[in-house]
Amino acid sequence: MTVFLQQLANGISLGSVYALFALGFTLVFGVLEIINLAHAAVLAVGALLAYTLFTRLGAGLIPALLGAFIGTGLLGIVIDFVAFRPLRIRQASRLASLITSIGIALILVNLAQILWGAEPLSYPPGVVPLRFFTGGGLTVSLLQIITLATTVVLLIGLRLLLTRTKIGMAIRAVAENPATASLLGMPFDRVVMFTFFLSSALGGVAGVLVGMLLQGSVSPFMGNTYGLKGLAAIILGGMGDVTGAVLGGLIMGIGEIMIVQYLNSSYRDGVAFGLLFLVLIIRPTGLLGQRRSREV
Amino acid sequence: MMQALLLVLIAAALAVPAAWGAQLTPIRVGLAVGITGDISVYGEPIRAGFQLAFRQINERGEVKTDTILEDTGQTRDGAINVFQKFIQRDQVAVILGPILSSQAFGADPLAVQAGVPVVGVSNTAKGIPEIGPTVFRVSVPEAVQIPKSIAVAKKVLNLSRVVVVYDNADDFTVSAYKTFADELQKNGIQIADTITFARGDSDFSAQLTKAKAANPQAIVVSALAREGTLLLIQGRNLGITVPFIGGNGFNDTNVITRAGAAAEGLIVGAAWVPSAPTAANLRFYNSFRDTYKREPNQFAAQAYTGAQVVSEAIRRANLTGGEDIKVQRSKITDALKTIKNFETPLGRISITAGRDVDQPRTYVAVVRGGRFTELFPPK
Repeated sequence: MTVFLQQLANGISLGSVYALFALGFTLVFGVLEIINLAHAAVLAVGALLAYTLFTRLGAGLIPALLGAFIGTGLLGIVIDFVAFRPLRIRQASRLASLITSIGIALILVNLAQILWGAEPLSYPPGVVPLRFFTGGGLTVSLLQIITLATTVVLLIGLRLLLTRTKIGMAIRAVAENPATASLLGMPFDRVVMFTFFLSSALGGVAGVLVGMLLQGSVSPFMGNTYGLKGLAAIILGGMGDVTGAVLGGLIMGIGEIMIVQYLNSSYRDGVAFGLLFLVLIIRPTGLLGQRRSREV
Repeated sequence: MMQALLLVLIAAALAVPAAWGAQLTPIRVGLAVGITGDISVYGEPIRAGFQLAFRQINERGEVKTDTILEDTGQTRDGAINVFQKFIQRDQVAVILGPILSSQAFGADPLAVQAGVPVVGVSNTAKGIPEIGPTVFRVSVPEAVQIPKSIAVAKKVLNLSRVVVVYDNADDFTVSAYKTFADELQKNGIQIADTITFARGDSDFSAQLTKAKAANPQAIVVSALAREGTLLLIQGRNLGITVPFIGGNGFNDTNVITRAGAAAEGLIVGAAWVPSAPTAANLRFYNSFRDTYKREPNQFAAQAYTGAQVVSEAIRRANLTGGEDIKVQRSKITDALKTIKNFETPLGRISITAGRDVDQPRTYVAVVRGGRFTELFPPK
């Protein structure tokens, strides 16, 4: 039983990272129907930015998180400006955006490698809150709790933003029908810009949390694992649905961990994609997705 | 043709004895190293070892080499592309590399086909020289090193029950795992559980929780450096206190730097330790530290050795550099087979009839106080 509970804790912790990653991923998809594969690279940049803030400027946890949030947010705006806006103006197909995002991912990862080097880095031991709670054979770290809490807070915040604020309603309007929204006077480009800012900033925060949770894993390539898993999570949860993204992420995380414990660790990745396959067959819109009516 | 040969002979006869057999043009050597990607933890020291060795070799002037360094990245395909470029476009006479055994299994067959000698300096999986008649290595295979590690660890820790965790997505770690499993069985040590992960994974909480639940006396790990480091850190965070026993992938001071206190007590097999008290090692150690302002590691020492072995083979092949590239390649291949009792930082090594390395002195090391120190079994 303790083993089960420990693995559940491990699964929730892994799942909340997937969820956090998937949140930003699904936001851009919901609004623009673009699968932005550069999101994984943004996650790595966020983690690396925080590394620099920690080591060069001696920043604390909150300033570093904030720095990564703003830094990757701005990066998101640049990505949109350089890569996606020209395609939108030319009304290129969605496939073109997909390929472009792969290109951006390659450029970002390689730039990051020039700036930070290829070797995996660790955050300095002082800044990461390394506290562990043990009891009844269970070990839960403060970081795991922080990660889950961050995911939940960001999910609630994002939902409130989308449903209760002006900019949120503008985002949903643009998502519903860009042409009509523009005709009604919505500042289309600014809405898209804000969406990219928010999406990438969430990715950056996810990166910092991964970097703290898994010490010694901060590198330009750290996003690789999350790219495909995140995509699976949002398809599982329903493309473009923020609650679905979190749900999808958690299911994937817990599922993977339980497979290692009770089946065979070799099937770990098989689960992610097996689940995806099943969902696509039984419920092609994902667990929470609805046909043509999106939340975002 | 005959006249040209005569001219060369006369010129050679007239030359001062010191210049006898001196090369006219440098021999081209390809260095296939993974400098980017996660394997850069091996690639960086290997590149440093190669470059230091070839600089010294060229300064000495006995052999002239022209080295071409190419980045293979961490994939099989990357290594194959680099080999193709070396063999066809650059027309190299000999190749050093690639870093991973899995890359060697992919790329070395190309060299075998073209008759190009390849010397691996970090490939330790089973079956590397068996790839073909031009494949050599100077890195002690895991199959030789692991039995020593297990035997010493058994005595020191009084082992009877372990859990094995290994990376099943990499040729080298799988090969090392098989050797570990055989050796544990031979020593009568029970394997309570065998758990896998895949290269590139970052979260090992599931595997480690499962391993901890099996209540072992030690955890035997076959992993590359990145995953190995993460396993050590996460294991300690999950409250695992038993020692880890690792393969060659752990054999890097970077593992200690990154894992910090979590690396304490880690036991690894090593082909080289900084303190090896031979003159050749002292020379290597000092010149490496003077050049790069840091301590070399095992991979740098093996790379340096590989470069020495290749240049010695070029010397023994008596090449002028003007021969047809095919002749250069086959002469170097033959000369490599004649390397016996050759003085290197790894001690006196020989190339066996099976093109593998025979290195009489290897080590079992344990991390104590943040350094690899030799582990001696109790008398």
